[in-house]
Amino acid sequence: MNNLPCLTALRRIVLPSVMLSCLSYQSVFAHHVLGRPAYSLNEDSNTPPSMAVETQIGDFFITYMVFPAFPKSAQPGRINLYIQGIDEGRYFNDKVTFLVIDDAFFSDRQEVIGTQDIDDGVYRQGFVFKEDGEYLIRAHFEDNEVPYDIDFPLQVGELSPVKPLVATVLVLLFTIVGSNLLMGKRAQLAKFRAHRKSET
Amino acid sequence: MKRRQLVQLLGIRLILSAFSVLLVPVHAAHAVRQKITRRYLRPPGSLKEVDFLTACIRCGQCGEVCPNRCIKYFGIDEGVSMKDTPYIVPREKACILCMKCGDICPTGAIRPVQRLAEEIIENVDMGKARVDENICLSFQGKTCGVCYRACPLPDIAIRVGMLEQPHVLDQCVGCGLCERSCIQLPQAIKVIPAHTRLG
Amino acid sequence: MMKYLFMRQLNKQRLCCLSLVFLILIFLPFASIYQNYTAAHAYDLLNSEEKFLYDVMQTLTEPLVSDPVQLDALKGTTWSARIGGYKISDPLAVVSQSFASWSWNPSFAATALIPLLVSLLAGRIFCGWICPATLLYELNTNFALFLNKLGVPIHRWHFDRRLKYGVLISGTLITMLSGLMILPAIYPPAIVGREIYYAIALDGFSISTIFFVLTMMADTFIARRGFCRYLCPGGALYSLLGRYRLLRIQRKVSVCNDCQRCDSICEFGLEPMSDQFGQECNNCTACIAICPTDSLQFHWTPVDQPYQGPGHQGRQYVAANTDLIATDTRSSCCE
Repeated sequence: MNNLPCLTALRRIVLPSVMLSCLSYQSVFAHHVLGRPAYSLNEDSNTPPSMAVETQIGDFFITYMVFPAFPKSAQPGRINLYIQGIDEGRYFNDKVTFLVIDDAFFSDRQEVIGTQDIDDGVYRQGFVFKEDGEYLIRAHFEDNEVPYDIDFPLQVGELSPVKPLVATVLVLLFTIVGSNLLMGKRAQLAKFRAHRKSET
Repeated sequence: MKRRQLVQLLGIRLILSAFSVLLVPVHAAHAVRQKITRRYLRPPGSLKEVDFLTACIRCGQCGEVCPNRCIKYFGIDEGVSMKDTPYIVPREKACILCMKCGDICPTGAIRPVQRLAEEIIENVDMGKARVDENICLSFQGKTCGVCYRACPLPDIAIRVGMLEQPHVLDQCVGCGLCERSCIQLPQAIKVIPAHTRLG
Repeated sequence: MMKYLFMRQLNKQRLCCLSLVFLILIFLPFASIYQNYTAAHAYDLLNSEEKFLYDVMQTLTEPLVSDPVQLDALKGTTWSARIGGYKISDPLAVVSQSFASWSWNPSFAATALIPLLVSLLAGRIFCGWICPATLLYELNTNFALFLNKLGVPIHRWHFDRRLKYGVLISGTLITMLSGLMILPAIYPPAIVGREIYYAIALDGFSISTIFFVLTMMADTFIARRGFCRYLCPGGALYSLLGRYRLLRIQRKVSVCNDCQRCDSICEFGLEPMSDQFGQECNNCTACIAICPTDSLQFHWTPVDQPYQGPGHQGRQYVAANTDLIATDTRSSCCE
């Protein structure tokens, strides 16, 4: 089943930035509901802020962590990657190559930042970004000759404004309701005129 | 939306969904694995994945009634077949097994299960927790035991040995409270979802 | 006289009903968040925004329930809901789920019984009185006319109403063959209900909002109520169920003056003045309210009247019959 050529091609998958927003844009405040307080992902948290994204693909669970959670340009940071098999939790042992890809529109830049061996169960890769922007970190490895390319979004620099879609929808609603209030009864007259025009 | 994501969204996602749907009757767990998704659990009392996807009407009531607000809904990124279906990420918010979701589900995609220990152990299979001894503090000479204390079924789903080393037992229902409480980063105990199990 | 005043108010009442449904759809996600805060017993740990939500919801719900847990009495959307323990679902959901799973679920089908019976009796009345998308689409029609005043061309096309039956059938077929639940993904009331919940209680809108906004834009520029008239699978299903409905609007030809206001106001492009209502009439009473001579009324009958000819108060009839009747021509509809 793993050797179907179409499935091999399907290994190259992009992890969308929606997952990033699910984790990092939600401010998780300390709640004593059900045990320990949740780690705050704010910059002023006293626990080391890091972002963790977990995913499953093929026969692996992949955990990707970035320190700090919101890296800035010219600031050194670190990626921790954990690759474990779903069935028995065995650690993947071969080399993993990290690439960084510029995720901006109309940009083709990509660069290998390092190839790492496993070190105490984790793949560690340092990075320093020269410029702010949206990037993808690609982790590439091969298991039994099946290539895996996992992309994780990484924002360097200022956070983009949250929820632009909500703002757009609210503006639309406001416009529509507003125009209705402005039109009032004239809407009916406009309908009569329009009907008459379509008839003649 | 970035160009790369747009292309991926329109192209590979749809192919993926189509393939996964075709594969589903063939070998459910493998099909689930071919899709790239978050590690997720279905609500407690859910039917197994293949049946769940055709029983769930995407009404959103399970998440609405959840007093813990742990149930979220997939968007388009995991595919058309998964869109608007409920899921739980235990590390963010684990399930407290209140079983209200099963009561409200109109189609029985989440089966109603009585809120009694025996009923829950018998009927709930969200997954099974697994300890990563490389990360767990108790397996490295320190003493922790937080996951054991968070478990709603202690000594039934999980037990502790020396130095509070956790051992997950067969009757673990996969609620994820242990994973949620683990003090390590990344967590040393995680729930392996039922739908990723082969066979 | 009072009866006629009441009939004129029906359209306003309908808009109130639609608004009420919409407001409930907005209220319920906030109630869900509030119930989470009360279940956590952690008021002191809330931040200021969360505290504000809590306080507002507490003020709103205190007169209604003694314990926030009782807010579980009302959950869901117009796609599927639970009201006081009784589950009620859209018949399209039953159709979709049965065909996706190739099985019949009697307890789930029973939840669609009341909507089914109401549709058999009153036709596509869900579309006119309850559907949350209807409210947005009707406001959008007026917005389109506003744009038209500013010079933007709108509402250029007409298509065949039977297209939506094709959408219903092909959607059901695709569901049956692939197991994909595509109907709830394209059905506006299900979309609106879910998206409001996502926006308030979860991370925000999903791609379905973009789809819905696109249908609104298509309604503005392509065809008035284009989705409802030509594409909605739920509308198709309700129209089929309402083919022999008992509650119908009919024209009293003796007082009709051929002013065409009813034809202009009908959102679905039906022709009350030609006695053409058909299975697609959603009993929205807009035509009843606008008729200056109150010639449109509800009747209990399973079939439409055949065409009765021009209205007896209208120019055409009067001209043809000047020697037969005394003229009492009320002026025709004016600018």
